[in-house]
Amino acid sequence: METLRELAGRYGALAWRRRWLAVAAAWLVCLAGWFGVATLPNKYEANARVYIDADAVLTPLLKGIAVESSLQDELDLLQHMLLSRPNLERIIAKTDLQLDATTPIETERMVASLADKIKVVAQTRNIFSITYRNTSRQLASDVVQAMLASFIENKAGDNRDEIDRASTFIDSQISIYEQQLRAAENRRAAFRKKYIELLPGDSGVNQLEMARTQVRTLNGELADAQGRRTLLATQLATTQATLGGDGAPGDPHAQLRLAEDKLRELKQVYTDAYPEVMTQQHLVDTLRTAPSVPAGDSAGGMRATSNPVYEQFRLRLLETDSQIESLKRQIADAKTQQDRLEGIAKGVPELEAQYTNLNRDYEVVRRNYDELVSRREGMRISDAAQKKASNIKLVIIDPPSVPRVPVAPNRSLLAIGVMLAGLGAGAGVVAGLIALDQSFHSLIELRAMGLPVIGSVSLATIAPTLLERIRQLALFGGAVVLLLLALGGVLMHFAQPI
Amino acid sequence: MDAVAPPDPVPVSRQPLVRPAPRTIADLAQAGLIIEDEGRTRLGDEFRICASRLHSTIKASILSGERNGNTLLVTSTKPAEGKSFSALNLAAALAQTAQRPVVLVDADLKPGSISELLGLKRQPGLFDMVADASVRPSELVVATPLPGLSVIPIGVPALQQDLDHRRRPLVEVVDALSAALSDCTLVLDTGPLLSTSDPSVLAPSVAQIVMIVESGRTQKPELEAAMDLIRGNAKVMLMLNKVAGRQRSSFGAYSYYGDYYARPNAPPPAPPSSLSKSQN
Repeated sequence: METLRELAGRYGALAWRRRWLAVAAAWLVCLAGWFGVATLPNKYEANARVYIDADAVLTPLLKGIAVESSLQDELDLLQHMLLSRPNLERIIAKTDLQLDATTPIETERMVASLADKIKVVAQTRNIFSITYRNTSRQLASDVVQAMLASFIENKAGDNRDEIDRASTFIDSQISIYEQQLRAAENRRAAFRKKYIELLPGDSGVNQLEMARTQVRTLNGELADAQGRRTLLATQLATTQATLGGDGAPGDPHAQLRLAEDKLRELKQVYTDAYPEVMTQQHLVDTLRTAPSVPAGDSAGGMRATSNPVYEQFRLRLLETDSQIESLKRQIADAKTQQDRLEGIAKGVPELEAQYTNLNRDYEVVRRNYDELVSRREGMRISDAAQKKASNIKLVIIDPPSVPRVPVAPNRSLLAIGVMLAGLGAGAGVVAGLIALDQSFHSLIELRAMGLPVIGSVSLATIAPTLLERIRQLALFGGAVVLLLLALGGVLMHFAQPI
Repeated sequence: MDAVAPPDPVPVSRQPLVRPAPRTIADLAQAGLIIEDEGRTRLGDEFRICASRLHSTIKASILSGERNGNTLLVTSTKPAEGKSFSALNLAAALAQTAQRPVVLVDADLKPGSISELLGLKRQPGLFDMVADASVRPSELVVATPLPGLSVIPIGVPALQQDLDHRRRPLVEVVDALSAALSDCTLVLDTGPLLSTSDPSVLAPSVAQIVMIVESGRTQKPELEAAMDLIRGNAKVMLMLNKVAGRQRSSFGAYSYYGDYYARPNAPPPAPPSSLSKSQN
């Protein structure tokens, strides 16, 4: 069996035999690659930095109404606005790019490639760098310049449109909410009207409670009236319907006595000059002188006359009776009312729930409506403010500039890469040839053919001397070193300022 | 080489047997003979081993009465794989090891074949037999300084119009050779199988074929394709040629040979018994 060392030795020998093929492949790849690198066109990079107030540009007044967009979304949107199709078409039309885009298809391609090549990168939230590469310095600069210009041009008009759009939106929302609000109001009013007695009104008094109290009050009054009537009836029974001669209430003597008694009482308190005393004195005097007159009447007074007290009692009784009747009727009325209310009152919890619902709906609609109205007002104000201060939104920090040194291609790096690729190609060619090789290297392999083998014979040439080996190695090494030297030359050539 | 300068080939082909030939071993060495080279005894030993194994095969063929049992064809897949070199050295080694004389027959038309190397380019040879049935093989044999080794050159291919009526197939020529030189071993050196038609034409008429395989160059698919071109019952044997470096499984991978080569004048040591076993 072959050991690993033998195997390595064999493949080494195979590779060594093909070394010049490897060198040739490496040189071929390197020369072609270096030529290719040398002929690559230079690329210049134009760069500008602008300050863009993303909030002002993107969220004119809708903020808060819709879901708040994230910062990343805003930046994406802004980039798309900058690289929008109309924008790019304007850029093409303004610059020399239009020379390459004469047909619609070419324009289409140009727009697509521009959108791809112009890089808008957010450095901070509001500062953007705009970068574009082209083989022509002038064109690179022009494109970035045109881009900025067209963006600035557009900005005012765009904003106006957006405000109008926002305003229209809010107006339409307001009218919708207005209708809803009206409907809710109507529903609530109808409900209130229907169940007004049961709902806790503005006064806060329940109608049913009021009805019950009224019934109770009326009942009390009725009882009072009936008691009074009983009392009056007994009084009436004990009172004489007619009056006799004596002891009649109209007896002048009795009046005189009464008056004299009163006069005495007054004189104990007051002097004679006190007006009341004087009036009383006058009354007594009048009465003293009077008996002659009433004496004439006393003869007639002896007849039976109707008793005034009795008459009064009767009158009072009648009054009380009619009062009782009236109270009874009122109680009946109040009862009916109470019964009706009690009938309705069983459904009160549901009604209250319904009423709460109606109220809530109404409240919600009204709140939104109020909000919208106030926003519209706010918009009017900020719109007015914006008209005055719209130029703050886009400020060019660094105007477009193009360094004299091209940014691409990195020729030195490419040249080194080409050389590595060349060496790889050389090794690859040899490795591929060895891998494809199906020759025989030992008797064991030959015997595997299945035929008798008579033996092996060594290479007839004399083994190379040490000097010869060194010479071969030096030749091969020289070829490789020459490649490295060539790379050095190529690098120096590329390093020169162009 | 300068000794061989026949003025005109066609008349010479009718000349008696005495003819110019390689006169010294050095002439043979110039043609590629190395088994007598003192400095490269290892190669000689390798050829001798191959020859001894060939010899036993040939002997068996003769004893079993096979057709042309004493013939051996040397060929390969492609040119420049060492056919002529191997044929010359194998023939020389056979002549040394076997008790039978060996005749090396040059059947390769290409420039630089054995005949040319030995300075026998213009000598009558094999193709004279093709052109003229009356030519006897023994007339063509050229002796060499090496005992037991003779050569039949390629001869001069006759012009086409001369051949038409007398031409006979190459196979018949081989039969005639084998019959006429039945006490010799015939080694036919031919062109590559994949380039010329001669080897595949000759193959059915010989008893042994040695296919030279160049180490690290002959590809396996080529060898298989060449095998497909061989018809007949000949025993096909392979020989690995131009083996670079030392291989354990090949002959001579033993350190004392290194020592021996370091002292070229030292007597050759007896081959170890294990060696012959490993070669079986």
